[in-house]
Amino acid sequence: MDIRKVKKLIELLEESNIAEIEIHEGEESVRISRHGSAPVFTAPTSMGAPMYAAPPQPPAEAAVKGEVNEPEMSGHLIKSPMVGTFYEAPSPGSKAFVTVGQRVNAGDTLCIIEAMKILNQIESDRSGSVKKILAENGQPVEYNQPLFVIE
Amino acid sequence: MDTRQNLLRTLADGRFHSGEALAEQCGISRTAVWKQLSQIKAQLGLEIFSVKGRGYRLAVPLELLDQLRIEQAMSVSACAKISVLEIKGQIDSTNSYLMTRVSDGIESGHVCLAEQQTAGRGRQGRVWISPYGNNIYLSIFWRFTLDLAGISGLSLAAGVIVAKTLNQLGVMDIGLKWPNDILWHDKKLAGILIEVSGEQGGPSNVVLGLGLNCRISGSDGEAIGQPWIDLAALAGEKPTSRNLLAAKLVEALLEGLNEFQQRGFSAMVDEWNRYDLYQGKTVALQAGSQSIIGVHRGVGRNGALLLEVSGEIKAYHGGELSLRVVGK
Repeated sequence: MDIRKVKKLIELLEESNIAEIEIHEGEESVRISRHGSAPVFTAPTSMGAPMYAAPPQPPAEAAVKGEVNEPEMSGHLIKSPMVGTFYEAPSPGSKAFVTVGQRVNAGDTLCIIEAMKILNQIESDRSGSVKKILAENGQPVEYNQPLFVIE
Repeated sequence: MDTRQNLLRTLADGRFHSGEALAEQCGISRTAVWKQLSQIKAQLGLEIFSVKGRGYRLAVPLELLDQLRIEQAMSVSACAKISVLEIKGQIDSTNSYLMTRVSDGIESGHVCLAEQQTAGRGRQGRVWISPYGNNIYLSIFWRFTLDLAGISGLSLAAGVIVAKTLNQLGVMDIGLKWPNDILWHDKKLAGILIEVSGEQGGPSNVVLGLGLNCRISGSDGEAIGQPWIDLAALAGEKPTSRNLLAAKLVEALLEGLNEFQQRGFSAMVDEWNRYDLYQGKTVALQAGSQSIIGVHRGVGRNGALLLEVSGEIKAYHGGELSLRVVGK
């Protein structure tokens, strides 16, 4: 399949609310899905009639990792507004913005999520104390992944 | 103007100026001149020769930033987009400065330029080498109605804008490394760092910072942890005026910010891909503790890097620490 066609499909997906597209053309097939952070191009393995699938699924939410998938604790969740890298401090080696047990006010910076060289200061949207930090410094986070529990 | 500024403006021409003349001009004693110049040497890292009977001169002439010259070199429409233009002598970081001013309610188009940064920085707390008087350190504040996700392509848009502006000023053979490093043949010429704050879903406060190497001395260059180049090496005999550079970059970035608000990055994807230095090459992308090797397939409409990894095209938004060509 032409690489430009695949690119076009990815763009189509990005512009829409569709979670997954699957196209069959002769022996080749491509499935592009929002699962995880990335569209996926599968090698041609399956056969079948041309198909255009659009299951109405909430994007990316399913990609959140096991232990943080269903937070059982009480409190208010701060979720990542974007895909990126989680940083607990303004720069390596400096003090973390917040630690567990610390009191925060609405508007205080909790962490930085970096994506494509944009450093996004994530603010707390309410006052309380930091009950739990659910992401790891320097590691990728998904859209809507829980980052903090504020109580 | 304070004494130090006064002395620097006089010495900027790189010619000899006698101690008496400098003392008279600043209304201080010759000893005070000597003291001031020692401080300038120590604090600003400038090399000043003193020769008995002739006076003092700078080892390398300087073109100091000049608000009037910058404004005069800009289009009327771009000037109208500036809410405040601040030129600082020495500052920790132009980005940090504007980020601290966000809570003061500064307005879109607040521009800060500096002669020197004492804590210039890049991504991941890396240092941006920022010696006095020769380079461009520039930050612009803009308030977007877009949310955080909508802002993401701005990083790439800014790279295109800077590369295009430098092209128009006669700097050739430059290209982009995702997301927005400006390179000349694999050597870093300029870097962009964007910082955003704001409530989720609400307006975003954006500070766009640019560092451009115009003239880096050998000793400063040694402190840069990657291959680099400066405009002086590229321009040969006729280096571009620093004030003109600053003016044209501010102008283009202000217009670009305005346009991004309306159209986003998708209108610039093709242009970005034309500047892309790594298209079709095998690259390694460091994402967290993971290293991904794949073939560079350009960028998507939202600015994500598209890598082909064992036959699959994947889009990467974050976690990227380095992009290097594998086995050229």
